[in-house]
Amino acid sequence: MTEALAAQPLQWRLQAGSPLCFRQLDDQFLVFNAASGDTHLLSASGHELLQFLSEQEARAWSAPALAQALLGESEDADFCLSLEHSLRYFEQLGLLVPVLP
Amino acid sequence: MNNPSENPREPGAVASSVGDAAAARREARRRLLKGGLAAAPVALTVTSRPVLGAIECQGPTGFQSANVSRLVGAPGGLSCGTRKLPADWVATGVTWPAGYTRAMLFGSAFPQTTLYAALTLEQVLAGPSTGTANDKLIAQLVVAALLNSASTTVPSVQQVRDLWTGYLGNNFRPGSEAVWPPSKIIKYLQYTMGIAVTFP
Repeated sequence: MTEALAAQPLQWRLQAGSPLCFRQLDDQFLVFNAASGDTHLLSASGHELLQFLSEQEARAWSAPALAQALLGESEDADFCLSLEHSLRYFEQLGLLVPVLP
Repeated sequence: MNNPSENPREPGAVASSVGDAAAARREARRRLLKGGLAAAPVALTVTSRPVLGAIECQGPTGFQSANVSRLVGAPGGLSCGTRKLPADWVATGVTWPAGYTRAMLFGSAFPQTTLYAALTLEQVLAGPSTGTANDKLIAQLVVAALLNSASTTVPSVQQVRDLWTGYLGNNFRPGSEAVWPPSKIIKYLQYTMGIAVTFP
């Protein structure tokens, strides 16, 4: 049982009831997090990722599942690792919350 | 035979066009993400909370976040503004918001409860004579929060009701957090009324 739990990939989702507010200024993207009061300047890839997640608000995502949904593939280990790092980074900023398996 | 790509009204042409657009979108996304996610997805963070004066109130989910927790109760007495306390609302001459009267039953305002259901909102605000210390204090606070919610959006009426029923059921947990103990529910409600609270 413990091994089965350990094998489950980590998942993240948006903070419930706390919608993100996106703004584009020229070629830069900003997101305001009402839960923390912070505004973040996103990279283009960060914006693409967070925008996608905000469109699937109620769902929790693991990195492989997100890779599959975004690109139609989940076998690229390097890409999945980059995704997971980004999800963890968003978590540290309070933009996402981890979901316990 | 018509070429579907030349006649966008053809169902096949529409499907093909949608499929092409989706494929193009996915390819653009692939280039963007595979090239970009190696770097940090956030380039800069600006904290925009006011240092003095009113602070925008946070809902229960925001209240539990580390950012808010660090600020609430910090030197300077940060809280989320000046909302009325139970004693303010019960005072004679204070006008109550539309939709609420002093004679309204607690059970009408909080339909999921039996505790204090037969008391009026004014009686609850003044302090029920029965129940535990937490029962009395949290009931007073949720009535004040309910009246405060008429002029604010956070916490919402539903969130206030959820706090009360969650307290009674010992199952209030915003987001994925652990169940809030009564002490945290009290802290949050007091925070929404301008009382600076501290965290261990």
